[in-house]
Amino acid sequence: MSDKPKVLIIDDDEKILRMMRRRLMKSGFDVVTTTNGYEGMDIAIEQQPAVIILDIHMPIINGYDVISQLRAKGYKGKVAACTASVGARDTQKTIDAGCDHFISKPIDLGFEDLIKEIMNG
Amino acid sequence: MNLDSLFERSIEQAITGVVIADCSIEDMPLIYVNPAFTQITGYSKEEIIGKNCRFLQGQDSDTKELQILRDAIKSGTDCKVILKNYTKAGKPFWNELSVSPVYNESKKLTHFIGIQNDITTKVESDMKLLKAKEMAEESTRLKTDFLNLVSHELRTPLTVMLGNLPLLTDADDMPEAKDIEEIAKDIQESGEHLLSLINELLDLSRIEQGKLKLIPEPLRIDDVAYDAINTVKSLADKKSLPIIEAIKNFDFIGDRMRVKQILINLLSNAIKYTVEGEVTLATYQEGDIGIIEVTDTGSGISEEFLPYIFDSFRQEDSSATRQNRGSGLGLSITKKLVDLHSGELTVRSEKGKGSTFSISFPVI
Ligand SMILES: Cc1cc2nc3c(=O)[nH]c(=O)nc-3n(C[C@H](O)[C@H](O)[C@H](O)COP(=O)(O)O)c2cc1C
Ligand SMILES: Nc1ncnc2c1ncn2[C@@H]1O[C@H](COP(=O)(O)OP(=O)(O)O)[C@@H](O)[C@H]1O
Ligand SMILES: [Mg+2]
Repeated sequence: MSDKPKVLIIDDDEKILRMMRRRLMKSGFDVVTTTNGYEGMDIAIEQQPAVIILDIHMPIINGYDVISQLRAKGYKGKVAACTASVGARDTQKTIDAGCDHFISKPIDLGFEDLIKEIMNG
Repeated sequence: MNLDSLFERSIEQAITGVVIADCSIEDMPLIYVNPAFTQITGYSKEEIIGKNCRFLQGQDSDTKELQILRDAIKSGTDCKVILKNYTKAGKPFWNELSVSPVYNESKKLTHFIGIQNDITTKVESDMKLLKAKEMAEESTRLKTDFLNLVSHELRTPLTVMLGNLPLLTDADDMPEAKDIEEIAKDIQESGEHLLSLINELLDLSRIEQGKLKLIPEPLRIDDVAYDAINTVKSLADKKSLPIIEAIKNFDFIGDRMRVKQILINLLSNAIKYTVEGEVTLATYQEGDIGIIEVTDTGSGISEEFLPYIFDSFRQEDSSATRQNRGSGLGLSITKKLVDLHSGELTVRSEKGKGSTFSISFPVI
């Protein structure tokens, strides 16, 4: 087992997954990714990552449903919504659904530090 | 002339309905109506005198207004209400009615005076204004929704482009060559996606403002069809999908570039949403109609999604990832381009089996 903190990224866009994986691995995270929200929930429960980065607009199951179902199953870990829908209403909806943080796309240079903060905070 | 007859003369001349009801008789019959009232209602004096005024009402009176009126009459006070009434000919009109009680020296209620104004024109123009206001609000809402969607769609490829940059600018810790290649490819594709999105948005906005002018010329469909197939051939080859050409010529009038754009949109969708099988482009003439059909053996479209397929930004959320996602604008533009050509675009599809998009153009 690695002692690196684990981040799970759930996003239906593979380019975004590749980019975030590279950025976070470079900053010393252990990174797991999936394009499928259902698989994401299984991974979350099995592997208990330090942080989940969750896209909202996804086919099959959207991010709101992923977080609600995770919380309903008693999942207590930290979850940051990360979406390109950046209106105030979108932000509120993710928080209401059970996310702890909201990160807007595009992500900026402080992304890695933000994930660390979320992890420690 | 004495003042009383001058008063009477005034009431007879008024364009406002004036009626008097007798409270000493059961059910308060009308004992006087002026000519304006007969004018507004279409009933003659003889038909009205002795009746209660409620005969002007239909089944659809506003119960709240009616209750206010009843309460006022019961308590002998005055009130103003707006009631829907009907003329003798059955034509509805909006009656702004004021009633006021008349008391005699011993403070006994003897009569009610009713004043009626036909305010149909005002009510109808108010309703029209309200409707226009609602439509303006709806269109603002749609515009905001659209802008939010555009913002979301632009931000997604930008995320890939901007997010990858720090990886390429850290001289002390550069990614390996094969990673750089992959990153560059992702950035390139995202940029291309962004560009086509912008072009599609411009097309859509030009079409919607009626600013997209076709350059019509006599066309042979076989020319345009082979031209379009050539453009999408490499896409199909990448997926080893054969494009079957069942092309019979017909002549029609159209904008060459736009007709080609229509075909490319339909063909690239067919290729994009098909994993296995083939894509067929058929063109033929039936009577004075030219028909173009793009058929695939791909994912098909669910019955629930089908009604929305030509809407902007609508995509069916069925594929697992958005690897080759477009903007969801292609079909919306395609449909509008076909409309501009006085053609018709329809779709038949069965989930899991494939789809056929078919266009009919008037031939020359
Ligand atoms: C002086 C007077 C004028 C009236 N004029 C009208 C009228 O123009 N249109 C109408 O619908 N009701 C009119 N009404 C109201 C009806 O006569 C009646 O009072 C009303 O329908 C409520 O009573 P109801 O529930 O017994 O019908 C008038 C009432 C009075 C006393
Ligand atoms: N040939 C097809 N087979 C299956 N689904 C299709 C086909 N063409 C279009 N669609 C569906 O309609 C949606 C809208 O199409 P389009 O407007 O061209 O947008 P996109 O950019 O997503 O291709 C697509 O996302 C897809 O879900
Ligand atoms: Mg398309």
